Amino acid sequence: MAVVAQLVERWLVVPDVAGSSPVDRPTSSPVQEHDLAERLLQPWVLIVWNDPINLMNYVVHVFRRHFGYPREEAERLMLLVHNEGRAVVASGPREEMERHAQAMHEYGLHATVAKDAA
Amino acid sequence: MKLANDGEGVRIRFEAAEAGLLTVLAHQFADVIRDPELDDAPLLARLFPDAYRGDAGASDEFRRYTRDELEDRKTAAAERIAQTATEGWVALDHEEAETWARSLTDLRVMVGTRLGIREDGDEPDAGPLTDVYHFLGELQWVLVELLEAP
Repeated sequence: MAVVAQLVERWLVVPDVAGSSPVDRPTSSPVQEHDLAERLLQPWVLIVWNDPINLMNYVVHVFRRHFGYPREEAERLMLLVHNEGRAVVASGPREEMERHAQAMHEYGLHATVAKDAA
Repeated sequence: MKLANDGEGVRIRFEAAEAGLLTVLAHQFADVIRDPELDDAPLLARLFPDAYRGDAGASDEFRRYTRDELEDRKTAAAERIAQTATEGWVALDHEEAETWARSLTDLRVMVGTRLGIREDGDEPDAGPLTDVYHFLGELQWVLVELLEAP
């Protein structure tokens, strides 16, 4: 559960800064606790996998059109898919990732939903 | 085949043979989706992949509530190609061009799967079906370039 681990690290670990007084330490506010709970409940990601048929410009086009990514980000994600074999292109609640997966399948891209990027 | 961007959408000029080929492929695609007798397992696995790796139960459930809609939308898109592809200039508005681009992927997956293209670098042997595959790829590439043009 890499995502959860990162979130816990990001939100819970108090920086061990030499000389810092307790007053300087971040204290958890109700807002932060709410965000944390929400994030821990949403460790779902959408992964798009490389395939030998889809054209590179089409994949960029789909990322731009469906997710609204700027061209540079869409191209970066497409190259990640192409070179690494896969890329996480969205994260959020499970239901939302499943809707994205269905849309990607309609576009002809191979997408899966997972609990983290592993 | 010639393509042009006219501001309102995309215009494509087809030879009779090209339009006929697209129509036949689009009908074939719709048949494969609709006719369970054809049971083209490798193609269907590509078109409707598992949404969860290593979790057959979750993948089956996902399929249960998405498959029908995906089938309908994919066959409807292929039928739009079959209905609009004719010899001479074909004018597509923006949305219709998007539908074409999407369905051309499905047609390329159908032909590519038959050619045994499984991973990057797989080069099909020369032949008529390979020519069809390359024709579809060129058409989709230029169509997407026009859709992406500012």
